[in-house]
Amino acid sequence: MTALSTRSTDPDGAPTDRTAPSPGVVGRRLRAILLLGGLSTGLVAVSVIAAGAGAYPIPAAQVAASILDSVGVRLGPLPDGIAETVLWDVRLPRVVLAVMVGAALGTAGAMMQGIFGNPLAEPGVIGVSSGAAVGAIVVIFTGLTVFGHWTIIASSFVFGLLTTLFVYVFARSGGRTEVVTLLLTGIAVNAIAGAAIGLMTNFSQDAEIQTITFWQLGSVSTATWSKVAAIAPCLLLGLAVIPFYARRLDLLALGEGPARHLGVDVERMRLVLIAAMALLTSAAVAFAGIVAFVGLVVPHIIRMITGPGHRVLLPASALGGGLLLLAADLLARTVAAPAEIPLGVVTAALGGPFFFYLLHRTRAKQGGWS
Amino acid sequence: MTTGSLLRRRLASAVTPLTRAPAPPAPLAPGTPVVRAEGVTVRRGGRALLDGVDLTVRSGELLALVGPNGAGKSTLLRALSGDVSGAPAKGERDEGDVLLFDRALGEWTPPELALRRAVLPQEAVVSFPFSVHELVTMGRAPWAGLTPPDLDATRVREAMEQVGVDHLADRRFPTLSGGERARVMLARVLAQDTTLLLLDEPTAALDIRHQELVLTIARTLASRGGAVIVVLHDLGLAAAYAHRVAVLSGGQVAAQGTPTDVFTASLLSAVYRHEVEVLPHPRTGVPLVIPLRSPGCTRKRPQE
Repeated sequence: MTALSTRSTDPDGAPTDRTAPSPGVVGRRLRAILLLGGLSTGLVAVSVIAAGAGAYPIPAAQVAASILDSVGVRLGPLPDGIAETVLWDVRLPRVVLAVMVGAALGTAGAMMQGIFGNPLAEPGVIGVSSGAAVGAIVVIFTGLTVFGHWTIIASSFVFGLLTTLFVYVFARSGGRTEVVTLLLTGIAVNAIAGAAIGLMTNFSQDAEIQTITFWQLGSVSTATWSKVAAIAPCLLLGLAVIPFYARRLDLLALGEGPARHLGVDVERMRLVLIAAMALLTSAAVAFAGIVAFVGLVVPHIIRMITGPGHRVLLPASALGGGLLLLAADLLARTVAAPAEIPLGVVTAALGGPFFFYLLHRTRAKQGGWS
Repeated sequence: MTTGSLLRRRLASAVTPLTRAPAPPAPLAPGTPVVRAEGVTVRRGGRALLDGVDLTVRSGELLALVGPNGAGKSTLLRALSGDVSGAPAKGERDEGDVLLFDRALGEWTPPELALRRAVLPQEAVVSFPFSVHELVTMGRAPWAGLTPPDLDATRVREAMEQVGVDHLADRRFPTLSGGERARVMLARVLAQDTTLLLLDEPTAALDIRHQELVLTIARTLASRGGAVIVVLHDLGLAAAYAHRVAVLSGGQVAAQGTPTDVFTASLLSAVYRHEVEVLPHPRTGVPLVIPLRSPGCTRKRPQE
């Protein structure tokens, strides 16, 4: 074997560029940088637009000026008193909450697809969102407020974690999940969660029913800074695992055995990522209800652009999820103004057809369900 | 192993990556035992898949595992790599010890083991459409932080050139043919640069040229002080390339030794339950195994 003997030898002793990355690698890296940069820019731009749009419109320049002013940078004219109040008490909490919920759902979806080894896994589809919603609704129904805002998060985290573990154990065989088993498990879990939610709705007072309906349809309309403060640590904790596990998730695509043979402690990774996934999903569900398909649509589009490598996929899914949810919320509250469409309805209307497309593509490509 | 030491091991492995990189392997003297299996017994569903298998593989050696379907070749390879799936049913018990580099398999942490042993599974499955270059680069994952990045890049390139997939570097895995997929996975395993290689039917999807290529690579690695265990169906390939062969039958080692000693017509006919002839190759003397075929199938159709 001649190739074996070429290790770090060169006939002329001259430096060669044979170790230079191939054009494909360079192209992919450039695309990744452009994508992350583009998503960040888009997120900032749409945030400013969304914060200005509504029944009391505020010019984007004033929004930007007011935000920069709060960190001590003077730039152009500030909005008037009413606009300032609307901006800081109503619009900005909502914008920030939407971005955080979207980022949590996008990341949770990408992680879930990685750990399940299945591109169709998504918190809403496999029933984890419903499970977490049951946890949230139990708190509303019983009126528990042991830990303030954290009560709902804690309860939906416990339910979300249990649901994730159940689906994971139930839908897996031989280190992978099959599409059919996973989707059928999701149907069953959603049915059970639906029964629990229905039961609690049936025995609820009118005020509670309204809140419960809000959970089922999904919305960020009741955003406050204290809710933002409650979800932020969950989101940061969930995102903090990305640098440690992105590469290992790549290896897991080879299957559990091969990943272990490449030095990954698969059991530990599974526990950490399932906890992170459940935390992200439940934090999102606790404050925005069931917003389906964000975790499915966003990672897929990003895979199409930069490929499946998780080091780009996970952060890009966080940014992309934030952007998508922010745009969807903007649409939800402006398209039929002054009325508001539930956020979950908008994402489902966008995500449902996309899911069809994915099913069709999976079927056409693999020649069936496997 | 006591529960205490297992717990300590677990704790150590949980903290290790945060505190220090795993120790890279020291070079081995030729002839050092790399794998030792003693009395390995695997029982599943009331059947012994492996029944008291003893096997030793030393550095510098290419060992071929052969035998009929269901003889336990893949199970043995999985037992050697710590991958036996499922748990024994009630009342069943797996027995025996597997030692790699003189340490029990369960006492290695995954990162330490990944620097010493690479495993090529039978099926090449990847959940997401990674590119060939990305997949082969995954083979360098155990060395992250231990070797400089340009050495990693060199090893990846060499591995792809060795098995002839360098021209596919930017292709996505799902777009490859079966043989190309198998070679990409082999390149990944070669890039891992380990002393011990466990290959489960690496030639099953390959044409003649690539079959010979793969076994030449394996033989070269062995001759440089590595140890290779390869599951093969093609007895001709096993006879031509393996230093030693182990014939498995019904979960037991029916015979092991050099191909010339082991490949006899009586043994192979009994194990495969099909009459075979064994002839020495007229030029090289390597045993050729030829199944007996009924005359009607092979004789030329008579001219009318």
